[in-house]
Parts: sequence; structure tokens; C-alpha cells
Amino acid sequence: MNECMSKQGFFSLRPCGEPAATNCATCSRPVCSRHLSPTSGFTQCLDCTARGVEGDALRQPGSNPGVDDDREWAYGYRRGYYASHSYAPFNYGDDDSYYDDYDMRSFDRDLGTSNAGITGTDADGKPDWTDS
Amino acid sequence: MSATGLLRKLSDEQKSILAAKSVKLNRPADELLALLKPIAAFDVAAAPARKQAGCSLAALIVLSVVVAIYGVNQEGNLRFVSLGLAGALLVGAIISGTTWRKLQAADVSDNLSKIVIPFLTILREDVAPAEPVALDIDLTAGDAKKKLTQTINPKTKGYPKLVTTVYLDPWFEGSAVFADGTQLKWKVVDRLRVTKKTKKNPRGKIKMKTKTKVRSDVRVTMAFPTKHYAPKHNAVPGEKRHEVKLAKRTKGAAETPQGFPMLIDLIADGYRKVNAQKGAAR
Ligand SMILES: [Zn+2]
Ligand SMILES: [Zn+2]
Repeated sequence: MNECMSKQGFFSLRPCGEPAATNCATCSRPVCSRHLSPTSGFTQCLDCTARGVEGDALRQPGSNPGVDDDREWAYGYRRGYYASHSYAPFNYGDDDSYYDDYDMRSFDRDLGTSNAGITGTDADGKPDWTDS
Repeated sequence: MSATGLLRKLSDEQKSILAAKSVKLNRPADELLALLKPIAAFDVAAAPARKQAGCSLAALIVLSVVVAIYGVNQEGNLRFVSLGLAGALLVGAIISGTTWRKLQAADVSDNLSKIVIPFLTILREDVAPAEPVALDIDLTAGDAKKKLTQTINPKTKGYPKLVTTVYLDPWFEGSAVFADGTQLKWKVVDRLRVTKKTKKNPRGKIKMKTKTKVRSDVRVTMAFPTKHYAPKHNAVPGEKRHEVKLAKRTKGAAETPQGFPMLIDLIADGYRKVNAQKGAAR
């Protein structure tokens, strides 16, 4: 089974990695059910939907709590925010030409130790936020 | 769905949050949203419903009095029917009054729907699904008595009269650890300044005007793991975490609270203060 290729996160981006449910009808990337857009009838990924609604992607949040699909709103807001605030998110995944219009700050792949996931465990196996 | 319908569907925990209007929670973002979103949805739906119930309460009382006065001055069947109708209208007024009071008692600050919910929705993207997010929220009105800090009353005699009251509302704080290991703490303190101006025009008519201004102070502390992030400034050799403190203050109208964009901008500014660590694990 393919893994979802949607990028999760707002301030830094990481691969979703959930098992894909289907392929996006627009970009044909494999995506999981959480990253499919309800307004598209679950045929399009949230990123493609965000591209389509760019105009009102920055609409006032919280206008319809519990009614709007909030993850769909978040992906539209994210896209609008990066553009309007010139924000360059850190990228913890592979480069993906789909996100070429995001000005992502990537990590140096060759120098990295390969297996330390970003959810972060140190060598002693503790989550890395307990070590301070 | 109607506001009263949404209210009825709330769980006991949600109802107790509505009653207390303040809550401390420490749960994964998905669970927090599942708990708080229905409360926010009710609050948004309740605003027009509250107004409607208040209007029908007033209208039904007036109508029942008019019909009763009419009825008292009639005789026979007409008197009987109109007094009966007045009674029915009064029952209607009591029902509207109960609805109005119920909705009024369950009113929480719009900060829940305008700031807390959208902020959590964005945070959820950066926090690993099982990691808890800690919240401490006070959703009582910004001009609640317990928040009053100062009454400025420069002129007590004569007109125009100007009374300014100041309220301090430290209503929102919390913390979370992002999936990249960055620790986040935030605090939002609103300061309300309510100015009541009472004027007397030449004909002796007294008019009052109220103006509310809100100043929001947002503070954010972030601790970046130096394993992943290299500070651009003030790096301390050997530090495992690099702490960055950010603050922002915005003034505005009470109807358009700025807390949400301020929080997002501050965290984004924090991430602007670091670079990707050379050789960092991806
Ligand atoms: Zn797509
Ligand atoms: Zn996914």
C-alpha cells in the first residue's frame, strides 16, 4: 500500500505517512482519508482544494465552528499564510515538486543520521523533550 | 440545528464547561477539538437565538397586557375569550423567558470560536497525534466584575460625564510540544477599556454612549531543540534547547479579537529566528 504524500504541519512540514486511501483526482498523489477534502466529495487532496480556494483561504477563522471541516480550512489558511506572510516552513521530508511554490527550508540530507525520526527519541529512548 | 437543540446534544462534561466557563485541560488536540467545538458551535448559534428569545419575550408581555386590558373592558364571551388569550400569551412569554435565561446563562466568550478553536486547529498540524496540549481558558465575559482593576472617574458633577473602567483578562494560556521537538508556551492577556460618556443636550435630554477598546498582549516562549535548529542569534555553546521569547501587543475593537493571528505570527517569528541545523537528523 502506498503512503499518503500529503505534508502535515504548519510551522514545519513532515510527511503524513498514513496508508493512502486513494489517489487525488487532480494531482494523482496517493493520499489518506484525513487528507481528502470533504467539499470535493473525497476525490481531491486538501492541498489541491487549498489551491482552488486560494482567494478566500484567509477567510476569518471560526466563522462556522463544527460546521466547516476544520482541517480543510487549516490547509487553505496554511497556503494563504505562507504567501501573505512570506513564511518558509521547515521541511522534514523529501523534496516534493508538488510543493515547489512553498519556500521550504530543508535539512541537509547527506549529513543526517538516518533514523532519528522527528517525533524524536534520543539514544536513551526517551522522547527528546524530556531531556531539558 | 437550533441553539437549544445543540445545547441538548452536549455531553455532561461539555455542559459543565459551559456552566463554569473556564477549564483546564491536558489532552491531544483531536480530543480537545472534539470537546470544545460543539460548545463553540452552540455559542455561535445561541447569539441570534438569544436575541430572538429576548424580543419575543418583550413582545409577548406587551401583547398579553394589551389583550388583558381589552378583555377586562368587555362582557360575556368576548371577555372570557380575550382573557384566555392573554393568559396563553403570558404562558408563551414565560416559555420565551426560560429559553432566554437558559441561553443567557450558557453564554461564553466569542474568544472560544474566534481564537481557541482556530488556534487548536493549526496546532493540531504540528503536534504529534498522541501528544497532549495543555490549555487553561477563562471564557467569562471580559468585563466581568472579578476582572475590574480600575475605575477612572475624573468628573462626578455636571455633564458631560466620563467614566472609564479598566478590566484585566488573562484568559488564555497553554503549552504544547511540536513533532519537531520544539516546546511552546503561550499566554494571552486582554485589557478592556470601557468608556461611558453621558451627555445632556440643550433640551435636557440625557444620552449615554459606551465604547469598548481591547488591547491584547500575547507572549510566546519557544524552546528549539538544537539537534534540529541552529539559532541565528545569541546561541549558547552546548545548549540542548535554545529559548526564544516573543511578545506582541495589538489594540482593536472588541468585535474583532486579534489573538489568533497574533499567536500564529509570533510562533512563525520564532521559527524565523532559527536555521536548519547542519547535519541534523531528518
Ligand atoms: Zn491533489
Ligand atoms: Zn495523510
